[in-house]
Amino acid sequence: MNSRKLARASLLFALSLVLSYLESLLPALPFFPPGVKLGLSNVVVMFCLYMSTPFYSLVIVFLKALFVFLLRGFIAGLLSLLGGMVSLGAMLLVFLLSQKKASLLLVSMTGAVFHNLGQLFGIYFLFSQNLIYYLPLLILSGMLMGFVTGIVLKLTLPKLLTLFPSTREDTSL
Amino acid sequence: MASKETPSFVFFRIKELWVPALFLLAAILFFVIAHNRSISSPSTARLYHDNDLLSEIDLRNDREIQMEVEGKQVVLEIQEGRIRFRSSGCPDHLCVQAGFLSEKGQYAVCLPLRLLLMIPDSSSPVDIIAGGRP
Repeated sequence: MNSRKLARASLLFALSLVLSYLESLLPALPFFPPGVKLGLSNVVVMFCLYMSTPFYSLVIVFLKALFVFLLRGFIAGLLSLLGGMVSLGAMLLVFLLSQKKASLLLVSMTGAVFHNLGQLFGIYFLFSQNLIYYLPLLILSGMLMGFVTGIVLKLTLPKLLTLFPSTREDTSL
Repeated sequence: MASKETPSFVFFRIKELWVPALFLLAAILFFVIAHNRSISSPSTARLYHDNDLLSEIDLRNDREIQMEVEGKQVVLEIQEGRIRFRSSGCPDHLCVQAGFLSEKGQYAVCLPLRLLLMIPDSSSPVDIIAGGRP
């Protein structure tokens, strides 16, 4: 990994952290159970995916989990990692199966829904609670939040492309 | 993963609609399953000692409850919406042998410790039938 790629990955990661900080400033969403969040940092993960640099996506997911681990402890970090990995896996699958033609909305919705499923699975694994009651709620809120992050990605795409024009040249590390 | 072609940034495609539809279907399916489960399976059990209600026990969280009754250790185990006497300090252990209670109206009794564990049946007008102590 040369310094240029390192710098780019760091900037993208910083961007995802800033986005999740901005998200934390938003007031709690009405009509949603506590803990339901937009998942704005997924915008950066998706951007890397679309630029054919899924390795950056992986790095961002991993570093974000590490960051959560440092700030909020082991369980929160583990859940962040699980949600992020499952989400990235699902998005990558959709992206590759569609021969990289999947629409922004499809990828963002899939990512958000599977992020929730991954976290729910993690909670089930850790606390062995019966969580089937939360599944419909988490799928629906994932769809809605994925819809919103898809719109955010669409709106910020021109800026992201000017900021990181050659991201997709860094395919090898 | 190397590809230099410009990625397609299409916002939305009609023909991809089946994926969100699938999510929606899954959500509805899980809702129906969860709903069915919540009406068919009991959510609380009651523990009586000498006709006095000792505690109302929530069956939705798996756990063990230890208590001391008449100087003897009693352990109740709640698992997947069922409850049983896991162990008891009584001499005959009939209550333990009664096994898990999972249906409304089922009960397990420990005569030596004067304990009655039961899952109330809200559809039945009779809550509990028990005679007083002589």
